[in-house]
Amino acid sequence: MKFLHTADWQIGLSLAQLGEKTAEARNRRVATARRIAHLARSAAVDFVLIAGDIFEHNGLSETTVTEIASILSSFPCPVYLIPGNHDPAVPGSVWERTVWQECPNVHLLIQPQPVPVPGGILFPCPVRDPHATEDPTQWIPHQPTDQIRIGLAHGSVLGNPEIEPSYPISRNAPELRGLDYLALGHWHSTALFPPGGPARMAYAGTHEPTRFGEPDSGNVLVVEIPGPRASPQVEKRRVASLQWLTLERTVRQDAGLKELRAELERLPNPAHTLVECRLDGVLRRAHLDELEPVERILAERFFFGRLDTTQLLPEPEDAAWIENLPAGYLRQAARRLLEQAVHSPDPAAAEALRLLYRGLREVGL
Amino acid sequence: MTVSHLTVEKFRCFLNRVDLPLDPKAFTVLYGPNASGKSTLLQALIAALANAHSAKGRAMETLRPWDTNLAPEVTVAFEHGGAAWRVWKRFLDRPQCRLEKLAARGHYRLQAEGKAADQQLAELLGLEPAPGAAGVEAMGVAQILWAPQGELELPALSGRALEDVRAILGAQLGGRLGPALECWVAEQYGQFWTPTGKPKKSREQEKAALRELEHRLDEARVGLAHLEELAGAAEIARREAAELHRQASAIRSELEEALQQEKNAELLRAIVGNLEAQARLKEKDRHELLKRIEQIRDLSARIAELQQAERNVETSVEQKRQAERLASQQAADAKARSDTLAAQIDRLRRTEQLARRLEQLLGEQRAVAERVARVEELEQQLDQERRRLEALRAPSEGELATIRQLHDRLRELDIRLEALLLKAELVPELEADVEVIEGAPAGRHRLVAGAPFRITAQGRMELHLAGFGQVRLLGPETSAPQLQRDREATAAQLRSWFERFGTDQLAELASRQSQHAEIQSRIDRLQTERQTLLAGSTSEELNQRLARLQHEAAEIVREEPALGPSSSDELRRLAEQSGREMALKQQEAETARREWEHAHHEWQSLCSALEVEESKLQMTRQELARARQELIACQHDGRTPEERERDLQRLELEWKRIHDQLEKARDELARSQPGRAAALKAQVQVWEQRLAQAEQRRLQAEADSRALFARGPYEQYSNLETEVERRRRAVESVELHAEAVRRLHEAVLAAKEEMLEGLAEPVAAEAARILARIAGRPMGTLSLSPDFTVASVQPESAGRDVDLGELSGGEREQLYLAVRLALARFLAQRERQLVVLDDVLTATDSERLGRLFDLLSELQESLQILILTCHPERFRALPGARFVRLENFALHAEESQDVRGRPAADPYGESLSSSAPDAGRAP
Repeated sequence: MKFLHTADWQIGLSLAQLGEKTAEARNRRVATARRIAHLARSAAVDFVLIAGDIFEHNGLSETTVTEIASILSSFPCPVYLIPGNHDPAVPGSVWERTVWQECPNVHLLIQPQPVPVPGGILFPCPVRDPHATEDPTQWIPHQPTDQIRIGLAHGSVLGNPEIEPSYPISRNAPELRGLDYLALGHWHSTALFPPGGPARMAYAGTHEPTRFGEPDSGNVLVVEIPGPRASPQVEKRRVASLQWLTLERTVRQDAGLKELRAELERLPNPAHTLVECRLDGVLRRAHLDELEPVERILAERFFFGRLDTTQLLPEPEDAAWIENLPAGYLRQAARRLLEQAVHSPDPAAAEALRLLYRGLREVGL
Repeated sequence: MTVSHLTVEKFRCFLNRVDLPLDPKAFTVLYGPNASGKSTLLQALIAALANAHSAKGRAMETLRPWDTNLAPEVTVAFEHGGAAWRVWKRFLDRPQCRLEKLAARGHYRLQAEGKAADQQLAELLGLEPAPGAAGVEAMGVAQILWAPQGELELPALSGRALEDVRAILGAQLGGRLGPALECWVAEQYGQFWTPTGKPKKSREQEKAALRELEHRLDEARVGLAHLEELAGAAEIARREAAELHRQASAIRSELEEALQQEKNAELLRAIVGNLEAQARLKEKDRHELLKRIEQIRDLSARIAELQQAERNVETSVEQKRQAERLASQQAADAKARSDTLAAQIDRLRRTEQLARRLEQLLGEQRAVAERVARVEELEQQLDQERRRLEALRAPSEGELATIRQLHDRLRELDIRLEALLLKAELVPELEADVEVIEGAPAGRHRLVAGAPFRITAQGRMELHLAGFGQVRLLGPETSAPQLQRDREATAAQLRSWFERFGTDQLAELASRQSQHAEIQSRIDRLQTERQTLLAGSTSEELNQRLARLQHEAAEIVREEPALGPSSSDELRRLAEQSGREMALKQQEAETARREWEHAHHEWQSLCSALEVEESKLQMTRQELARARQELIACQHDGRTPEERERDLQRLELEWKRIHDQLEKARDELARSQPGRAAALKAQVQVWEQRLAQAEQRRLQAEADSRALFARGPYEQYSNLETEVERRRRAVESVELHAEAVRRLHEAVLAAKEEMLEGLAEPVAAEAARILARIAGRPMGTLSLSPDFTVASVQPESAGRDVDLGELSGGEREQLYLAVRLALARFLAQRERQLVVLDDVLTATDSERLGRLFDLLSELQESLQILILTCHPERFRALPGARFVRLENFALHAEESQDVRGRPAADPYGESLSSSAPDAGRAP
């Protein structure tokens, strides 16, 4: 038995933080779904499992749902999918749309009932109640047979502090339920259980990262199980088209921003990369000149770039340019702004100081 | 600013044009006697620079030359900001203003006219055009530099002037970059903030738009939350429905079990019913038998009792019948007595009534008979009187009056005929003939001499006298024949009346008429009396009534002969006697009636008692008959009493057996749960109702959820969130920048303000130095307030702050001048300034004046100093000063055609000679 395990496509995800690139980023998620279909074909899998949260929300338009249904129809094999907590099988959910009736290879598993699949039996655990607190796999009977038993669920594996404890799933659920493999969704990063040994339970993770700081997302899993109670062979395949990078740099030296600039310029595939650059440290007069090119590179070179300098404070000792001002109220004003910017996390004061510096340059300092 | 030329015309004391060139680099002493117009020149200078040309008001009117309506004009040429300017203003009448700037080739070029010129000049000098007559206080910083006569003490600066001074001094504190950066910051600030520190409208609009979007986003978020709630509610409703369904199914199973139990109980109930019926039957038989035995026993006893009672009642009835007969006889006797007395009483009452009626009839009969007799007498008298009246033949009053009128008429006609009669009496002297043509006797007549011949004629008389001729006599024109005819007619009527009454004597007729009236009066009286007696009746009626009375009296006598021919008194006595007898009889009758009533009551009581006894006897006999019949009915079974006793024992044993079986069946039935199925049915109904409601809720929730999901709200929310995020970042970026600009703006202004707050200190130090130069020795320290007024003075000799009043007049004068000069030195660092001192230093001694001149000479490098004085000799020691006599500049009116051109003549040719080497130099 060979199948492809994916989950958490989160089609329709808002991504509002990307501003003008929001729509394009959303489109990339759909495009990646198409690539998964190609992968299923090339990997010659028997079927595909989607462990919930295909859609970000049940309140999506008919167009969006139809497009995804079309993609799923294009898969060269049966597709078994369950609703997740984002698209639970509630009245009016996307699963009630008529378009699914036109997808013969797509099997919506709304009821917790065993379903025969090529080479084995599938125990789906659909999410019907978005606020349920029971183990969704608890209904699966532990009845060893001579068939490969696969579970398909959407929930949180207990013991992972980074996942909210909804739809709790025991870490030894495969043993408890007599499953050869339990395909999970909900956690957006790829994760195998147990981490060290042969995995009998796994999160495929989202096929396209959904935010900055999301580790090891953008994958699907190709799983092959030789026979009942045999160890599954799990292969991770990267399918994401976008890379979300977070660069956190502390500027302490004059060359700090220059190095950052060079690093940004070296980054490969910038048209498919989203960069969030967070700077902290202290502001030096020289930094001011280097900030602008960094901002420009981020804005122009990458799919999306953002520079956060709110934690970049003026360096108290870096008052040389201030002390070089002619004696008078200008120097006094500059000293006051520096004091405000240094002694309290006041972005406005730091910005005012940068503004003063710029103004002095413009009037001929 | 320095002034190079001043021209004044038609301005207060200057009726003619005064054209005064001034050297911006020179020290000028302009002198003249009192009232020569020195201060007026300073006023003209202020008016030209600070007054709006359109200024009006009483103070402006004082600018006209005395006792004229001329329009004042002033021209000032000045240098400011590195350029040369000239302004010309005419005030009050056809006011005008023209501002010119010196061009490259020495010609002034027009920059603005009218109000625009006022405005441009004000902006150039940093002033506000004064709408009325302006004083030196309207001159901005010039109020420091220009000291009017007697006002050397610097007033407290305020408002625009203080700001300007601070700006000028502060600009120097900021160095070269200060003003430029301030402008840059102000420009940045103006992009985001209003002058009053409020955010610009565009920013507010952006924020408002963002708030609106955020609000919409919140609404969309709430909508999504509501949607999720609905979905959750639908799920809950589904679960509730499932749970209810499960519970309803469980209760239905219970109901089926209960229904089976009820069927079993029904069977048991049928058995119980059968046994109960048997038991009731046996019980009935036993009870009936028992009842029959008791009835037979009771009836036998009852019959014996009734037979004894019948006998007793029969005896009693016989006794009561005898008593009733006796009482009946006694009552009849009493009744007869009472009836006899009643008949006697009736008879006596009738006799009394008839006697009294007869008495009354006799009285009435007498009265009616008297009236009948009197009426007959009156009628006889009336007949006599009427016969006398008929025999009298008297006219009535009307007839008599007519006769009298005819009589009077006849007499009147006779008189009138007599009046118409012409009478002539001819008495001829001779015999003669006369023919009477008209008159009587008509015809020819022979007249005898001396014998009278009388002729009469009616109305006209015509005679023919022989030998004489015709004689005509004419009377009144009334017609005598008509009168005659009237008289004859009247006489005929009168005769007719006389014939009627048989006499032609009017007096006789009058007498008759009087007698007639008397007889008629008597007839009337008799008739009246008769009518009174008849009282509306006739004589016949009165007679008939009398006859009726007599008949009734006769009838009474016939009925009661005892009343016979009796008088009224006898009748009255008879009636009274009958009344008394009737009273006695009535008493007897009352006694007899009471006796009868008593006997009758006794009889009735005995009758009632007899009826009761007879009824009792009847009832007893009937009851006895019934008892005998009942007894016969009870004994119709033909059983003996012993047999009946045995039957009774047998029935009791059978009933006991059936009762035991019944108790056992009932116990079994009691163990069943009657009503459980009904209760369960009710529960099932309740649960099904709940289930239906839950299903309805589920369907409704699902329908709501589906309806809302179908709208695709999340994508709308997502798009809105993207737009909000984009706008929020933009607004936050702008707001951060705006806040930074505001911080920078405030920081620069605050730093400058702090620095300006301390600006008075260096000015005070400079003033102290100047004062020491004037005094020739250190004069101690002084301090200035932020508005540059003298706050305190501490002379070295005093060692403490002293009041300015403690200083001498000269010292105060020098102190004030020192403060002005110190400020002037600071101000002159930016631009050369004109200092005007109008008649000052009057209290300064010559030694200090000399030192002051040295100081002024030094200040001449940066200041244009103009001294106005009436004591030029006090300033002779002033090095480099130019002395100008004011009278020399007063031009004649006819020479002042072009006040804006060059002066008509060089006035310096008549300048007061001075020790200055360049005195009298042309500008």
